[in-house]
This record gives sequence, C-alpha cells and structure tokens, in this order.
Amino acid sequence: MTKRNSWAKITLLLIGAFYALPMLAMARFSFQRMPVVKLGWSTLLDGWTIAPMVDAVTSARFLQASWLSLRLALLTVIISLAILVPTTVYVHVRLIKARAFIEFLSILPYVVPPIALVVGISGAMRSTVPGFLSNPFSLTPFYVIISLPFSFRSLDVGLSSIELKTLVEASRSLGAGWVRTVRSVILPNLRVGVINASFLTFAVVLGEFTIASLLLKFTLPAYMAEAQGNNPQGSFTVGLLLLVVSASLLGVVNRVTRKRGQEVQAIFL
Amino acid sequence: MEQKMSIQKYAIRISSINKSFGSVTALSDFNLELTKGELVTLLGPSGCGKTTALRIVAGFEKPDSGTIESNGLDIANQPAHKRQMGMVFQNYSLFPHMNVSENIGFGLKVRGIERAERDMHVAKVIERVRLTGLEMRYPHQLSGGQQQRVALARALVIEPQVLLLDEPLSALDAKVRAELRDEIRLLQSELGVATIFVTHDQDEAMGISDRICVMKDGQVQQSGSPQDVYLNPKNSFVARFVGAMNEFQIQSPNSGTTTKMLLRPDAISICQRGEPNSLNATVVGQHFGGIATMVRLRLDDQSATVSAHMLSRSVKVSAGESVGILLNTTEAIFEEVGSNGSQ
Amino acid sequence: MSITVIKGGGTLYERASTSFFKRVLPWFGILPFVIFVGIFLIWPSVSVFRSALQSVDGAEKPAILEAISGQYLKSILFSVRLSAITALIGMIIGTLVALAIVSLDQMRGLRNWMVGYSAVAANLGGIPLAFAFIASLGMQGLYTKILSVFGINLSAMGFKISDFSGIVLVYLYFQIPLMTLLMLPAIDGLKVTLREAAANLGASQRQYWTNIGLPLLTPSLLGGFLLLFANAFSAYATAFALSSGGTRLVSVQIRFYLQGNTITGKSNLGYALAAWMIIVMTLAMSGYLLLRRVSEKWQR
Repeated sequence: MTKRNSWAKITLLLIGAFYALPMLAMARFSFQRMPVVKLGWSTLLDGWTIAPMVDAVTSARFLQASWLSLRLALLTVIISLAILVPTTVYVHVRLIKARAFIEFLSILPYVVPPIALVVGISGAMRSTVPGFLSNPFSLTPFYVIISLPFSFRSLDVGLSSIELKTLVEASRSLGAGWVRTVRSVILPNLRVGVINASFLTFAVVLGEFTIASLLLKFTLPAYMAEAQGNNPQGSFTVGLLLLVVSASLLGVVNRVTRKRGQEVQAIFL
Repeated sequence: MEQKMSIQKYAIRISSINKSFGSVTALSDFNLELTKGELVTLLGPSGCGKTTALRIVAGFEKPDSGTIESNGLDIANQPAHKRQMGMVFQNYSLFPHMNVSENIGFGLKVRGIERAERDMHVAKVIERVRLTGLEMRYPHQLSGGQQQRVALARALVIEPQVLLLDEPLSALDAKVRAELRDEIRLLQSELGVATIFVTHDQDEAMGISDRICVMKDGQVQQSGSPQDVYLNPKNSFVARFVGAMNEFQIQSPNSGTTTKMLLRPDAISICQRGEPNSLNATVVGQHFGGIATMVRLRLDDQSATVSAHMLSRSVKVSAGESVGILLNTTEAIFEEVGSNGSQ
Repeated sequence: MSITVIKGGGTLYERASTSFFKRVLPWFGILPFVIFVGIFLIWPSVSVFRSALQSVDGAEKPAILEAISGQYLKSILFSVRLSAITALIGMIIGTLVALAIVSLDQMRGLRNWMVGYSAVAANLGGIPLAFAFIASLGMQGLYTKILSVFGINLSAMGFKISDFSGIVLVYLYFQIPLMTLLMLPAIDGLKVTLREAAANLGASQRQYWTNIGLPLLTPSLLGGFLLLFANAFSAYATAFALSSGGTRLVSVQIRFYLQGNTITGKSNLGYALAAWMIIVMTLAMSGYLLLRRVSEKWQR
C-alpha cells in the first residue's frame, strides 16, 4: 500500500509542478525587467518593477477594453438569468416534460465551436441586419449562447435535486399566493444555481477572444493581443490579472458547489 | 491420530482472535467452530464486532492475534483471494458490466475453468436459486431480491468451504426478506455448506440458525441454539437483545437494595383483579398481531408499563379496564441496579 | 378523443377546446428561450451549412466537398492529429492523476484542492494561457534559458512553442485537468466492495483489473477521449495567440476566409470548413454522451 501511496504522491507533485511552472514564468516575465539572456544567479533579484503593469493598467486602451468587457459580462449575466431563470423554474414547476428538450438545446452550443459560430453570424446577419453587428453590445446574445451549457446546468442541477413542483404545491396548498411562493420557496432554492451561473458566465465572457476579435470588438483579450506588441510585459500582467480574477470566480463556484455535496464536475459536463 | 480426525470434523475453527483499530477494540478473544452444514449467526448491535469477525474470516482484515483453521491449515495470514470462501455482501456487489451468467461464472473463470464446464455449473446453480430465464439480464435490470439471489449463486457455485453472509437481507423489503431468508436456509442445508450469517435482526437470527452467537463490544456474550438463547439468556444484555423483555423494580424490604427483574412478555398472564399473587394493573392498549396479541398494561403502584404476549383468542380485555397480572417468575432474570447487564 | 358528452353540462366543443389548450398552451412558456436559441445559434449554424453547400467560384463541386480536398484537407487532418494526440495524452495522464487523487483519499483536503484547481485549469485557455507558455518555453522563455544552461537547446532540437509540439503541450494544460474531473466519479464508482467481491471469488489484483476495473472504466475513458478531442478541435484563441495567427489549424485558418481579404467566391470555403468543424464536433459529442449514458447506468 505504501508503495502505491508514494507513486501517487510523486504523480501529484509532478502535475502540480506542470500546473505551477508556466504561471511562475509568466509572473516573472511580467514583473522583472530583465531579458532572459541576461538572467543569471547574480541578476536574479534585479529589475523587479511594477512599472509596466502600471503603464498598462492606466493606459487608455486598457481602460477602454476592460470597461467594455466588464459591461458585456454584466449584461450577459443579466440577460442569461432573465431568460433562463423563468424558463427553468417554469419547466420544473409546470412542464417537466420539456426538460429533456431544453437540456438538449443547452448543450447544442458545444457542437458549434465559437469560430464556426462567428462564421455563421457574419454570414447570416451581415447582410440582413447590418446595423446590429456594428454595435459592440451585439456580442451579448452570443455570449449568452456560449455560456448556456454552464448556466443552464447550474440552475437545473439545483432545481432537480429538490423536486420544485412538490414544494410549490405544498406551499400553495398551505395558502400562500404566487408572490409569496416565489419569494419563500422558489427563490431561496435558486440562490446557489444563480451564483454559479453568474460567476461562470462572468468568467467566460471576460476571457472570450474568438468571437470578439473576429467581430472586431475591442474587449480585454483583444487588448492583450494588441498590447503584446508594444508593451509585452504590461500585456502579460493583464493576462495574469485576468487569470487571478477567473480563478477566484471559479473558486467561489467550487466552494459553493461543494457545500451542496457535489463536486464541480457536475456543472461543467 | 484422534486429534487430527476431530479437526477434520470442523469446516472452520476460529481461535482467540483479537482485533483493534487504533484504540478501539473490535474483537476480544473471539472463538467459533463450525461443522459442515451448520449455520451460525453472529447477532448483535452495530459495533459489536460481528462484521469485523466476518471480514477477518474472509481475509479482508488481518487479526492482531489468533488462528483460523480450515482443512488443517492456519489461514489467518492467507490473502483473501486464496481462501475458499464465498461471501454475499449487504449491497450485493454484483459486477455491473456483466450479466447474470457472467457474474455467477466469474469465480469459476478466474480459477481457469473452461467455458463449457463453466456454463454447466452456472446453469445448475441458476436453477437452484430459481433464476432461470434471467441469465442475460444485467444487475440494474433486476429487483433487489433477484440481485441477492445472483450474489448467492455466485458465492455457492465455487463450492466454498464456508459461506459468509454479511447482513444480506437488510437492503430488501419485508416480504422479499422473509422469502429469501427461507431460501437461503434451504439451499444452505441442502448443499451442506458451513455458513456464518451476520445480522442485527434477532427475528431473522432465530428463524434461520442452528446456533446463535450474541455479541457485544467485541465479545461473545452467549452462544447456543435459538431456543437456548431465548429461554435461558446468560445475562440481561442477551435477555434484552433477543426478544422483548419487561423490567420490574423490586425493593428488598430488609436491606433496601433495589433489584431489577426481567421477564418475557409471554411469562405474564392477565387475570381478575384481586387474585392471589397478582399485581394490580390497568390495560393501556393492545397491539393485534394475528395469532398473538401484545397487551400493554400500566402497573398501579410502579407506574411502569409492561407488555403481556398472549394468544389473541384468550384476550378478553379492553383499554382502561382494571385487571390483575400474574408473573411466571421461574424464568426471570435478576440484575443489580446499576450494572450494565453483561458479565 | 372520444365523442362523449360530459354529464351535467358542457358541450363537445368545450371539451375539445380545453383539452387542446391544456395540452399545447403550456409549451408557449418555453418559447422565449427557444426563439432566443433559434435566432442566435440555429440561424447562424444553418447559414453556415447553406453557404457550405454552395459552390466555390462557380465551380461544380459544392464548397463542402471542395473543402476536404487538397490543401484544405491538410488543415483538417492537422487539426484532427493535434486533437487526437492531446486527447490521448490528456486521457492517460488525466486518468493517472485521478487515480492518484483517489488513492490518497485520507488526505481529504488534497482532493478538494486538486478538484478546485482542475476546474479552473480545465476552463483556462486563450490568451493568458498562451502568454504563460510563451513566457515559459518561447524563444525568450524562462525555462528555455534554464534548460540551455543544462545543455538542452530547445530550438536546436526543433521545438517551437508555436509549432505542433508546442501547441500540444499548451493544450495539455487544460486537457489533463478536464480528464481528471471526468475520471474522478468513474473511479469512485469502482467501489471497494467490488474489489472485495472479486478477491473473495478468487481473483488476483491483475485479474480484478483485467476483468472488472478496466472494463468498468472503459466507457469513461473513451467518452473522455472524445470530449477532449472535441475540446481541442474547437479551440481557437490559444493556438492563435501562440502562433500569432500563423498555425495550420482549421479553426485559425477559417479566419482568413472571413476577414474580407479573400478572393471573392472563395469565402464559401470558410463556411465549408466551419461546416466540417460542426460535423466533427457533433460526432464526437454524440459519442461522448452515449458513452456517458452507459457508465451512468453502471454507477446506478
């Protein structure tokens, strides 16, 4: 048994190193103004500065891009929830037969890669509704679509586990009106699902590059691609920041999901 | 010479097994002998060590000390897969990706027995457990009772020295449980295979066993036939655990000490109030159970409630009635107040 | 529908119409969602296939067939090869990691940590990940330099982060944790009691794995492979950033047909390639879902 244990520990150590090393290199590159050729034991502690990061973060381009990304993320979350919450609640309470169909629709985005989707979008819409695509917020509905698998699953998993229909019937039979039922029975059980759906969607939108760049919208990832040329260190720090933010968002999702006794895998796949 | 011959009489002989998990003693000086064809039940509450004992016999745990003799060999240190035991688990543990035939034939397959011969043995035992026609089904397509019969067949087809049953009926519902219990007993005695049965359900134990070992805290409290254990419990733990018991507090008039008297419900009968040697009581309720009825009475003086188990035909009282009760104290067990009931 | 009149009033007509309403009306509730998906997912996808079925430049063959010939086929095969290799390696390593996590079950906190980070890493990708690897193993990478100190000259060995092997390595960063997440429940499903039942029936360690362990894991292994394949095949941003748009992967190449700097008429090829991507993804995802159904049945 102990032989198996030490093998397991070595495996995890190696994979941990694989996960950590690129991040460390990225951090070093971002914060140390020292070209790799000149890097050596003597120069190890030289050149550490946050100047490139400050430059990047205060630059007009960055502010413009992140402001757009932020608003897009918020808008996507709002619209996602506005469509999905009523739909999933409705399905669970009133039309459970439709659940399989809705679930099918929610995983359909998986078979259409973002790049293919963009191709289709410009083909379908460029000629028919030309004004639509020129608006930067036109990305929003497509972002709702690509985050659909996560957001639907998050809401659905929570509602499935509690047999919402029975709870609603119980509440109504005890005399509660619809408003009261929604407030006291439906919403509390949605909390975890809504948190998960929101955070996951937010993380996805912040990091989305394919659709944004091909529809020529200047979002945060587009900024990073552009800044790679004129301020590589700056753009790398922004990348690092984005990673930290995404990791935190997903970390919250993980913590919240674990409290429910599930592992996060249930949401992603 | 004689010694050797007497050892062969036993299918398995377990001696002086001790087992601790950290600071918890699971088994203390555990001894058990089984002859061929005998069914012994290890009966006790959770944590009494019965499952640990079974697992040690199966080879899933190693004892701290002691021996297990089978066929003249000490197998206490033999790995599980080399022992000739068949085990039926509480949750069936059928291999989900194999159908009924394949599950049953697995033990034969790993022993290198050829397909044709395997199929023959499997067919025979399938008939025995009445699963004919279900050979191609998969575990998730079977009911609980059917799955357990597959598990049984799987364990029996390898012709084990000892059959080990770990609470095999607790996951089933009542009717299936009773049916399967009788089937297990029938099969086991027909095939003459020594069997160790573990359960916490004393009804089950009494219905099926040649011998019962009542266990508590890792130790065997009493070992004997079901009648023996029920009618002559050695201590009040066994008395309380096997069958129901009424408790009476008796004050000794001279020394002022209090003693508890334990009496079976069927040792109490109802009579007219005021009859000699009777105690006054009021009927509180009845629980009709077909052949017999359990009448609950509250003693006027002690405000303790006792149960009298009587043939339904003899019960002529109703709730609220004042009656007298007669105690057949020849079967009573006495214990000092403050003791925990074990010896 | 039977033609009976309800006792106590109510005409035939009333009966029929309430029944119709009761059956169909509720489905209107999901209409907003369906319409939304229809406009923003189905319509673009249909348009992809519509253009793909048209011909290129007035030639005879529809674009969708043109796309799998000659040089275009090379791109598709390049993507398929890359996806298959990252899926295979990801499958093997991811499973080993999952096995390691489960066997160290006593260290409870460890599992939560690993699952947590795997969930993050599995969804990582795109620009930041590419940046991290460029900083690690690019021409000016930290580890490139460190390795050269030990005498290992990566560029002399022909390794470039923007080439096939580089992209494979970067993709593994999210493929491995994805497989780990997939395999954990499958390995959990190999309950101890199954192992004990097998041993009790006489099976050695090896016999257990050959007859029970591996067969039970196979649907998850294959399903995982397909999911990883689909995941890699559809990826765009990471490879784009690593190669500055120059890689031969289909996903990135489609871009050329889209940006308008194409010879008119050839744009249908872009649609065709996109259509093929959707076809491949549909096959892979269907396979994955089918296999997942099998393994769920066994886990009861």
